[in-house]
Amino acid sequence: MILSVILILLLLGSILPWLVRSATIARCVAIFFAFLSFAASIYAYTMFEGSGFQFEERYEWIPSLGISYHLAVDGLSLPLVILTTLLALVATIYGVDEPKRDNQFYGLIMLTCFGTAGVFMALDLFLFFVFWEIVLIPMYFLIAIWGGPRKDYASFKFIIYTHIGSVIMILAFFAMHYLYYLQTGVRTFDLFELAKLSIEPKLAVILFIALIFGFFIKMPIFPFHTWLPAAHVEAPTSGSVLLAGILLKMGGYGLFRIPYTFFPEVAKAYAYPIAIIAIVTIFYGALAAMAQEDYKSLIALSSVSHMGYVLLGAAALTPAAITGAIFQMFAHGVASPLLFIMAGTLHHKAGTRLIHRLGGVAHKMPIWATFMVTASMAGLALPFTASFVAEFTVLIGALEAFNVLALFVFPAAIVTAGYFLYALRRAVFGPFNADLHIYGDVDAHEFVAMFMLVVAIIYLGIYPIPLEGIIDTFSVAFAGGV
Amino acid sequence: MADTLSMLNIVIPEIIVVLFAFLALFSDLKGKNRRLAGFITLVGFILAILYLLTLKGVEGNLLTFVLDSYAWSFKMLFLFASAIVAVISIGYLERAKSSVGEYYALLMLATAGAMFVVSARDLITLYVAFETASLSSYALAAYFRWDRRSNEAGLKYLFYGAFSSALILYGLSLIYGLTGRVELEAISLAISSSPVAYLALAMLIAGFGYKVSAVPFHMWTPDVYQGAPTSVTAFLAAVSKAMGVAIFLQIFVLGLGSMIGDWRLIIAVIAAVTMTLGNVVALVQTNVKRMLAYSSIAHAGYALVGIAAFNPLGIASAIFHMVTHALMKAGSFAVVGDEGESIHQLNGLWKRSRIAAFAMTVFMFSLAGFPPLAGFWSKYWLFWSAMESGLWILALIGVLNSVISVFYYARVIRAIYVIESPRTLKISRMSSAVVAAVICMTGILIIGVYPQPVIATLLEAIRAVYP
Repeated sequence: MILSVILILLLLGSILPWLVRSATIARCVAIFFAFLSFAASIYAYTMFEGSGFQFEERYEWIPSLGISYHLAVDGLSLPLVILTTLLALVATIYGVDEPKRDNQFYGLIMLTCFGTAGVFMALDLFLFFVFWEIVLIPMYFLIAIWGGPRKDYASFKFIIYTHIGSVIMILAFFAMHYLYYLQTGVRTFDLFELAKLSIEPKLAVILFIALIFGFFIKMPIFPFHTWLPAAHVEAPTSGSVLLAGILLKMGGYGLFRIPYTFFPEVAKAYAYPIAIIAIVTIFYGALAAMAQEDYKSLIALSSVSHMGYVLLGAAALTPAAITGAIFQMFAHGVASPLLFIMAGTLHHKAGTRLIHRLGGVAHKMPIWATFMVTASMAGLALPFTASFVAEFTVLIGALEAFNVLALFVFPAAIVTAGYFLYALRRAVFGPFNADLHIYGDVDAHEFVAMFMLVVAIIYLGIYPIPLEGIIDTFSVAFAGGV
Repeated sequence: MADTLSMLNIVIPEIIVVLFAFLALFSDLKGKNRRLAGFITLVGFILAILYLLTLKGVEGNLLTFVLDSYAWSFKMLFLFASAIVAVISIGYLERAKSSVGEYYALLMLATAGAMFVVSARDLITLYVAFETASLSSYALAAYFRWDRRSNEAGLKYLFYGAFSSALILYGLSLIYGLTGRVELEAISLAISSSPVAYLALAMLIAGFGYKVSAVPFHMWTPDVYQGAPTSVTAFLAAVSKAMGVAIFLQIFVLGLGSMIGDWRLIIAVIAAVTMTLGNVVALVQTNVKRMLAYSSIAHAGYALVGIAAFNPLGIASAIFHMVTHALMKAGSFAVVGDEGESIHQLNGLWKRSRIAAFAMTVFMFSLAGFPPLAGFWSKYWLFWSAMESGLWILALIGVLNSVISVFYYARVIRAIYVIESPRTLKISRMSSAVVAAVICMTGILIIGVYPQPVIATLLEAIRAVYP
């Protein structure tokens, strides 16, 4: 029941703001329901015991097609559900950049979280797809209505890329559904049932590629990442928070939940090519980030680099690597939103995000600078931040699986440290740029949003056990099964 | 004879519709009781729907006029869609410059014609009923006599229609000449492949292909849909198109089903080309009525997929698709009729009427085939049926077309919500078009979330026609 409760709370939070005209009330309603859903997901966390799928709910939806409303969470999805509700709270607290059509804004933010939470919970492939598509629509509007100067281009590119990925993904779902129907005469989209399917190796490879293609676009993995810088940079801050925080995780989650669960042999056979793609993505994202002048595109491209670690962990398929990959999803899911909030606040107060036009911001915005440094440290995976735990675990796992190949990743850590520190040095420290007009330090609501994320980053960096404990229940069983 | 008379009740819905047609005609002779004529029409349709509901499950025939679950489903669709058109018309015809009695009379006669079509099981009844519906709709398309484009639409529709009628008549008479029978079931037993049968087949495909606006017989559609009064366009898309598909089913499945090997490939190719051309050309339209006309062409292609699949699911889902298409198109033309037909006139619609904006968004997403909306399910079943018949290439083309179509439907949504408009006329006025749109939207949402009963009813229905 608890999972449905979370979904219903998020759904209420996305419908009710549309019905009120006052921006303040709409915001309060959204924050209220986001908070309730966050509390409910924490409650689910405390009730989670042992391993395997829990809180299972199953109702027939369209029996003649074997579609059911089937929800459950395990060590892979529960952290991401918590992340979703946490970011719903953060995004609604941070709020809208330019006040216009506020009530719709909060409704769409909550609708995005509703869809994403549904994706993480659904165990019926069709239901999974429905939630997957629901996410697309509010995010399109968030970029297209509240976005930056190139919002038309960015929102359109976002919808084309992800929709093409979705279509290829659903074709693969239907193919599996159809094969199951041919083999057993039963129609079902249930994940557990379809996983029993025996598919000949050649077809399995095709289906595997079709499935990972859709998730690669979403993650995004080089060379399917080009929608990301556009969408992240043009999106309003809260939109970027959700894009980086949870939409990318849908790709990483889907990768583990579907292709890796269904075709573990194929995944094993193609471990090296996938690892190489991952390493290329890590480097590409880091090097491209180094060349950015806009703080927001720097952060966006660092996301590409960080999601590469998730893929590397998946490719390695050892318990440590999988734990690391899932931990990385959570860690990046709190670090990257913080960075985007920093960039958004900077844009509000300084009027620009271009690094070469900033300089010495720390003199005028000390609180902001403190948070910015913390966020950058989380971004470059300094010890005692959650990202460090995650990336370190992935690398340990990758070393077990790939030996020498994994060593190639280490230089990327230097590049990452390089672009974050270089940007900090130019934008935040040094002499104050006299051309700059700074309108005050961070506001209270921004401070609350930042503080929540910083607490999560530091707490998990120092004491990762609470999260790693649940993830391990999944990854040990998963790696053992593979 | 006594037996026949006892079955007279099966034709009562048609009788109600025709009676009310005359009532509507005489209710507004001077153009002073416009709304009254509209409400009479609405009452007529509602009475007919209510009576038809009591006939659910009744099977019987008056000579070759047959009521079975197949005919029942289509009649329900026609009556419901026409009732929605009547609701749209009540508001839309405020701009008419003459009396509107004959408009409603023609609307009801066209509906009655369509209802006879689905009950007809012989060629003569079929043709006469078909012409009743067609002639009424030609006049409807030209109804705004003072508007040049409406005249053009009516004339174009008439000429193309007359030509296709001639083709159909030729085809039908060739079939009669070959088999000596007019009853569809007798024909299916008697007919066999021969050069003359091929000629008849070609003429029927061309003639009825015109009616459902299948490529390459679609040329009239954009002009007529754009030029006709928007309420009439809603009727053409919702009712006339469904009638065209019904005739396709009756002639090709019931009458020529034994020649499946000869026509399946042709229909499959036409379906593929129709989907693709409709969707691709719709991409570049800036007039929403015209864009929806091309989308309507594409949707005819989707329905033909089900006919080409030629299995129970395919035929049921072709009917299902006509149900969802009727709801989506009637609703979207209702909004377009209220707001204006250029896409720019939809800019910032959300500010003027939140309900209309939301309803239009639902229609567009449903047309594009986003789950869980009604338009998704009918497409899903169509493509699935094609897979079951081994036409997986056709299914794949269909899926790709659905992807293409997202782009032009998204443009409408973008206009509604994203582009700001300086125009802030009428703020959430509750017009008859909005009422119609809300009814359609409710239907789409309900069918979308729970499609099971509809598809179950239709699967039951096609047992009556599927050989």
